[in-house]
Amino acid sequence: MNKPNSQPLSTHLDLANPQNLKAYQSTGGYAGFTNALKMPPQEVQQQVSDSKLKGRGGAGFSTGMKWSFVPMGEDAPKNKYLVCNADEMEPGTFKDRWLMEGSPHLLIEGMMIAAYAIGANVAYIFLRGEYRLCATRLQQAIDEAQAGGLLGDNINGSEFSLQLHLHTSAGRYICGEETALINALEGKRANPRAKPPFPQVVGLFGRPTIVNNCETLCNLPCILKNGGKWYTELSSGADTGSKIYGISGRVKNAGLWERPMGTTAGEILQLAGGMQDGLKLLGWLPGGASTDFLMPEHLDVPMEYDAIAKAGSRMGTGLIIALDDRHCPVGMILNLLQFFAQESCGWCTPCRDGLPWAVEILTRIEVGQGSQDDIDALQQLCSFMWLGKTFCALAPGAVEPLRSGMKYFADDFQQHIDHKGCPHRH
Amino acid sequence: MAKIFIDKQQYNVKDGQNLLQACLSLKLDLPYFCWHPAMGSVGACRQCAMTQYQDENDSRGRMIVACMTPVSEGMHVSMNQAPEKEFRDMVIGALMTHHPHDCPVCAEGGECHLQDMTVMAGHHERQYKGKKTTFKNQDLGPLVKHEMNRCISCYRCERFYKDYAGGTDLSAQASKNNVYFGRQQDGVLQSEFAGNLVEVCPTGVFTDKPFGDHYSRKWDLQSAPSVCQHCSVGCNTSLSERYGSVRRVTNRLNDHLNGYFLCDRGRYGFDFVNSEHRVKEVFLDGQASTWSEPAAQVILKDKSPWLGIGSAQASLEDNFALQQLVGVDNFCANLDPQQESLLATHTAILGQWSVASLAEMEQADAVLILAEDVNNSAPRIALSLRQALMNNAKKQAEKLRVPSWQDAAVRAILPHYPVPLAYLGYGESDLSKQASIRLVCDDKHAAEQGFLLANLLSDKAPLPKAKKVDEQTQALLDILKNAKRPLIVTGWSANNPALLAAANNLRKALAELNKELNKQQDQAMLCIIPPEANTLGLGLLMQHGGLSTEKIEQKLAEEKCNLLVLDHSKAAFSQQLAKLRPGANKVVRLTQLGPPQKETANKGTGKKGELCLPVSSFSESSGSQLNYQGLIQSHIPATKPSGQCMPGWQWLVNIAKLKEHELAHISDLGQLRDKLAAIYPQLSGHWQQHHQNQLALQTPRVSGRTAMLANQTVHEPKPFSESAAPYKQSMEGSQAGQNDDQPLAYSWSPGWNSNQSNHKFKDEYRGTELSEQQGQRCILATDKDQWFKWQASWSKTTKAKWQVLPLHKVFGSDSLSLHALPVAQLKASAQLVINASQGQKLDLYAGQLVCCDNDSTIFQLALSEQVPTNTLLSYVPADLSFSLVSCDELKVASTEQINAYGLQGKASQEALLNSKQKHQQTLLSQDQTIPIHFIEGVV
Repeated sequence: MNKPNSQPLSTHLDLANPQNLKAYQSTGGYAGFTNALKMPPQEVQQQVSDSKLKGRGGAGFSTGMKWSFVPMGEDAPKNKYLVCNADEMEPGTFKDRWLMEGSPHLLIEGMMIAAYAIGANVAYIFLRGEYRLCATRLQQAIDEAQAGGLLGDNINGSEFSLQLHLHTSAGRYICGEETALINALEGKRANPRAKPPFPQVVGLFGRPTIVNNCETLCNLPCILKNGGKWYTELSSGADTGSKIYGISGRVKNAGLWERPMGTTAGEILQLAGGMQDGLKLLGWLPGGASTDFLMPEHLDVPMEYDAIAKAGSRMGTGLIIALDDRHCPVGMILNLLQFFAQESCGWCTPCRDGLPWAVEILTRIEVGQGSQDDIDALQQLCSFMWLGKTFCALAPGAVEPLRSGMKYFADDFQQHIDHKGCPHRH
Repeated sequence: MAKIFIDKQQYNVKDGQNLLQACLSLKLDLPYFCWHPAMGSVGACRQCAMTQYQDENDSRGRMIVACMTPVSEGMHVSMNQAPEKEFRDMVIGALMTHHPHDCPVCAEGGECHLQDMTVMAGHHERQYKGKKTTFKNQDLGPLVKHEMNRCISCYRCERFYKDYAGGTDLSAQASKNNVYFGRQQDGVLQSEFAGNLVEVCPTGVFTDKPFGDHYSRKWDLQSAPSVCQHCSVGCNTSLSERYGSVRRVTNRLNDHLNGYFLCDRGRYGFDFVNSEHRVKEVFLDGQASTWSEPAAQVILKDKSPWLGIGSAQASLEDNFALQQLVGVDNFCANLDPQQESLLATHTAILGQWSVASLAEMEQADAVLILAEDVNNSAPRIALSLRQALMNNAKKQAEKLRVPSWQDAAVRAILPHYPVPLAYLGYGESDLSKQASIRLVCDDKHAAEQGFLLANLLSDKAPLPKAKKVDEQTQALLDILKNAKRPLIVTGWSANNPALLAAANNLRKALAELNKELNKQQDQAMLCIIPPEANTLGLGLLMQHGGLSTEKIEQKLAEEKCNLLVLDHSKAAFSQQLAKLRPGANKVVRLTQLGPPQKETANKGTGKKGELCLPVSSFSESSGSQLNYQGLIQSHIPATKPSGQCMPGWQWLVNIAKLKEHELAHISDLGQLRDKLAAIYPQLSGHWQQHHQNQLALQTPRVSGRTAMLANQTVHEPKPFSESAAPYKQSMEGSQAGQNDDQPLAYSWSPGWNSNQSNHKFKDEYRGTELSEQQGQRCILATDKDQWFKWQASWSKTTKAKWQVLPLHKVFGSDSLSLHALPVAQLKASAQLVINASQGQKLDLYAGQLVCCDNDSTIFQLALSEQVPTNTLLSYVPADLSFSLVSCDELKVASTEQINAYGLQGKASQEALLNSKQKHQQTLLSQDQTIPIHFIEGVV
């Protein structure tokens, strides 16, 4: 049982025909949860802290630390909630879908462990609305678990009870922000909330709430099955454990691979078979659309939170978007910014009015009506929407590809202005 | 206090507030949009950005928004360094990407917070080259105009309407730079606080519709500090005039009463002063006449005894003058026997307990309402009670180290920490829906439970006849015992003095309990709501005795008497006068509002000798009134009396001259007030306050002053003012806000043209502790230790099948505001509400037209679970009279009645629209040629 498994997330994975409860259990599923149930919740939290697991949603915050803010014990409020953030809408990111479609019980087990650890009796999966197949498979799995006595009251004869609900989102990118997600789940406008109070203290329906990313939760079964220390040994780099990496763009074979933390982007590109014939890599976004561009010379940097940050970007979701030399960087940035402007919730001024402003300028540059002033205006907008100036991280995230793109692809911008048009279209 | 450094300058500021509040309290100009002093912070607009530094050596710092940052000891921040200034400039730039450049034609121009903030932030050049977002506007009814293109998405409207006032039909919709603030579809805004959107909106999205129809710039308005006339709260208002007509009412900040908000009856009801129903000439038996007409003089000089009938719609001064003229024993307060008993009980209670202000009520941690429909009788109080319900959540937030001004966080935990609200009584309202303890019963039962509860709290409290304690009452016992600041609310709307007695006993029981437990302070609160603006003014005068309504009839039957009447515009009063008229010798009426056709009510009776004298309205003359607390408040006129109108007291003094009564020596209002103060010394302080240097009612920027009358005369007329009055209807004198002891005629400060300038005139924002309410309460403590005993007459029940209980509506129950066209358009038609289950059994359905016994009033039927069985809740608008208190048969209206009802409804709608158009034309033509009387001296 305790044999190290270097791909704990995808062991059970079967996209065509996901394991049912019986098959999942017979291949070692729910062993982590069974272990957890034998420990007091604090010890489960300790195991997760020991594993040094970092949140896989993009920010990379320590999961154990996040949980530690939840009030525990007799004085804690009676109702606490666990929410799985499965509102995967980051352009270029599709790892959670893979996990949920291929291994729904893994997520459910992870959520049961997390709920037990923080003392939550009600849990929600907040699922992206377009993920229809995920919804079907998750609901099937929930029903199975319910019928099998793994969900509901007094699970396995213990004092632990858990109601697990699947909620399909009505669809906004901002619902991926945990406090906006909470508002949406309450039936309110999906605007983010101010912090403090943090959701761990005042969250869903005003109660302590943990919102964890889907992939983060999927890491819990193996940690509880094999121990936190085992998990740290899965990788050799600075960050621990296993990670779903992937790449999209004009590579030969876009896709997802589970690899130890710290795998380099170059290795991932190799897994995909390299760029398509005749194309060269111009730049890449390491972890979704809201991360800064990195260049081909950064391909050797391990995909770890600190290392990527040092290179000038963010690890984000760990799913790379590759830009090739036949695509216009300005056009790509415009496309991304259009998405973010469209998805702004409309709450704070810099994001609501700044992003459409940037889109307006980029559109003019792309069609050849830009001027030198526009470059300055874009720089100004980047500063206007930067961290600390907005209400949540949406606009700063949106600014990342723009400001890094303007740095690395300054010539392309200049050409658009000088030649009054996009050089890639001629 | 905390020591903080702003731009390296040291300041001492109050703890617990946010940095924006602190800066504004220091009178520093920091621009903002989404923050509102009454609604807390949400951090949406980012306009109040500042930089915070770790210490004095940190030169980089990080950007913060002031409204979301608590002040802390020794904090270093900057407001005027380049990074934050550039950011704030850019925020305006971003907001302006789709704000139209329509200031010259925008009704908000000149008092626009966005204009002010744009100038303050320094943004002056447009950089955005794209297209603007545009929206469709909605028709939101007769009060509020919608112009969405101007929106800067500060979310204040939604936060006020939904969160603060509990409205459900306005919200933020859509997203990104396309957020839409409006209703799901066109339609009248349902909240009775919708008018506040006009002041809450920092720009011209929501504007005052009636004002916009007859518009003036703020700087051209002549504004007077005034007091609302439409219920007993006495909200402070600013009343504004231009070209001889009153244009609008805006909120005048009073920390203890209205705060920053008014109800729509108060905001729009003032328009009765412009009504075509105003009586502006002397009428003798229905014919236009004059004061000096011999026949009129004959009436006035009649030697028979004169009986006076006062009015709760007239000022304290008018009523006092009448009381003096006819003698205390001949003065009647114009109340029915039940109301007379209510008034006596009410003044007796005020003699024992001081009644809480709205701000104090907002601090309550348990609320018990005894059969008072606060939402309809005093809407502004209901709004305050709504805020009190957040107190426990605020306390909890602070335990979680979240400041209580962080509004969204407090609302997130609100459901788990409610303040208990008990409603014992009948009918549905916003507050009854919020109630955590709800007992559906009639007023008598509520009073009994009040008595029983008082007895449970203190065994000294007398018991009522009934002995059964309801479980809701039992549940209240612990709540009231444990509450620090419990609040008992009741009032006149159920027309039952037993309720007032019960409230008194509860208040006293809480005080007794406090004594027993040796708590430091007795912080329990009481609130009793009388029906009209000056009901308690009559209460003060009637403390010296007087004539009951029954006695008047008796006296008229016994001997030949004349009647001297301060008119009341309620239909019930006209009916009562019609009853008295045949027995009276001569009748002299001092009238504000009369029937539209220039005829007297006794036309056709053949009786002669009725003189009608036109009285100036509250917008045309000074006067005072006592609010629900017995607090005296005075208003100043914004315009001069129209036509032959004079203040009521002035007519009475003139009559006194004919009779050689001592009142004849009074030559101005000040002397009359001195006379009042001689009898009621507690008033003297209040008057003195208003006798200092003169207040200018016009702004320093008023334009066209000399051109206004140039088509009629080239001489600039002498500005009007009452003799020896403390104001000037001109721009001379002290400007608004210059002297602390003068009320604010309008709110303006350099750079702050909108009502947001309020903060320039106060030292700090309402925090956890509250400074004491200023002003003079007139009904003084006399007897501290009175329990009220249950009276046998209170136990009476009706043998009829149905008991009829009164119901009130914001738009309909106040007779003055029904003469204001915007309010008349919203008038609710007569309604009967019965218990839903009982209605179903009787095969009755909502919307059906019904009537009671042989009464001719047709009601629309409504069903509700919140009505006791065998009970009819009857609402009739104030312009109809309906006096049944019980009924044997509830009849479904006949086909003819239904048809007639339909036709009548249609006709009155049409008449309303016609008169609105006509009214509009009259006002507009008046602007072109101001009536020459406007420039003549006082009559």
